[in-house]
Amino acid sequence: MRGLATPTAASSSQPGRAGLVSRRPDGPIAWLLVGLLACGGASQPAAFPLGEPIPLGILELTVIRMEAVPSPPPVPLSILHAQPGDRVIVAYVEWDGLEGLAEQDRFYFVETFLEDRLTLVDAVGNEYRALSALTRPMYANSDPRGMLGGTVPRDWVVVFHALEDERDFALLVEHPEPREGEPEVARVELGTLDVP
Amino acid sequence: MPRTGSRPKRRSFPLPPLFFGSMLILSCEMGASGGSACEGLSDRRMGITREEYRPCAGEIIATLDALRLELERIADGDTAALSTARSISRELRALIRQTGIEADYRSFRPGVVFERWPDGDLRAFNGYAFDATFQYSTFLTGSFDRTSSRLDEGVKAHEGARDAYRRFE
Repeated sequence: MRGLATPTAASSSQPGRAGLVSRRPDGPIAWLLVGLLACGGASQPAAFPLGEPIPLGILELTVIRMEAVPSPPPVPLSILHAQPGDRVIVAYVEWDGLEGLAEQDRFYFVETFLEDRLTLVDAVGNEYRALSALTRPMYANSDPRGMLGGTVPRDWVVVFHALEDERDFALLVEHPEPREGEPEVARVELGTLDVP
Repeated sequence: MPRTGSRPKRRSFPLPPLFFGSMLILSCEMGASGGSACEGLSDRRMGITREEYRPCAGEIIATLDALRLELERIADGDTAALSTARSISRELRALIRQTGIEADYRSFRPGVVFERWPDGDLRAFNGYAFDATFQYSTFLTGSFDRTSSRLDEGVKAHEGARDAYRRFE
């Protein structure tokens, strides 16, 4: 797991903006999209519905749903506690693929990919980068090591800290090396957050 | 100065955490080897497999072997081997550069390494090969005294790379 992200300069006037990349749609993903469009032939993010596998080369990722982390969180991790003004949101995902790799290597790859390549976007265009990725058993506090019985769980949660006033979100998944027919960026609409 | 002492036995040891000073030596040289099996790997961003990497890794091992032969001659006092050794060293550094390993380490982003090289045996090979290249280059340039310990460190890393290569050969 990684530590909290450093708030950007644009957000430094307000407390607790860990994970917020930009308050306007000009964060790294937005610039990536501008770059893609400027390169002639590039396309908008490819839309994927919840539950549909996204082909990402050696990995296939399916976004299941999102939820607000309850208070207190299911497992006592600092990453699951938000600063005032923020809300902790987790996206549930499942992975497949990574054939021929040792279990430990699969773990490192999945954890790294989920933390580096997923971005949460709210309805006004604010982008929030992933702060941590946990296996479902870790999140459920049933396996602190993350490797249940030596096998990497297929289901994970990805942790974001977002502005608590926002309710509608989408998830962007960046593909570092798209093959024929695979998206450079996939967009999954997560819907409206159900806040208890 | 003749090298004294026995050659280090091959043994396994933790991946050397060496990245300091590598730019001093490795960044000085850049002619790319034409037509090597390592060409194009630096452009890859995800999931290099052992099948894809095997030919390049084999070439790196063969070049390390050739360089070591010349360095041992130099250590035994044969300064005529310097020219050949320098030429082989340039080839080796060009191969390493073509893999993109150097850029990976320079990024200081572990995620880059795991994404490009998800297979742990390939990562282990890269670490040892990078270390061996650095140690051999340092010995060759004479930036430090050409001591047997410097060459021995290179040999240890070289053999570590060979062990890792055998796991995916």
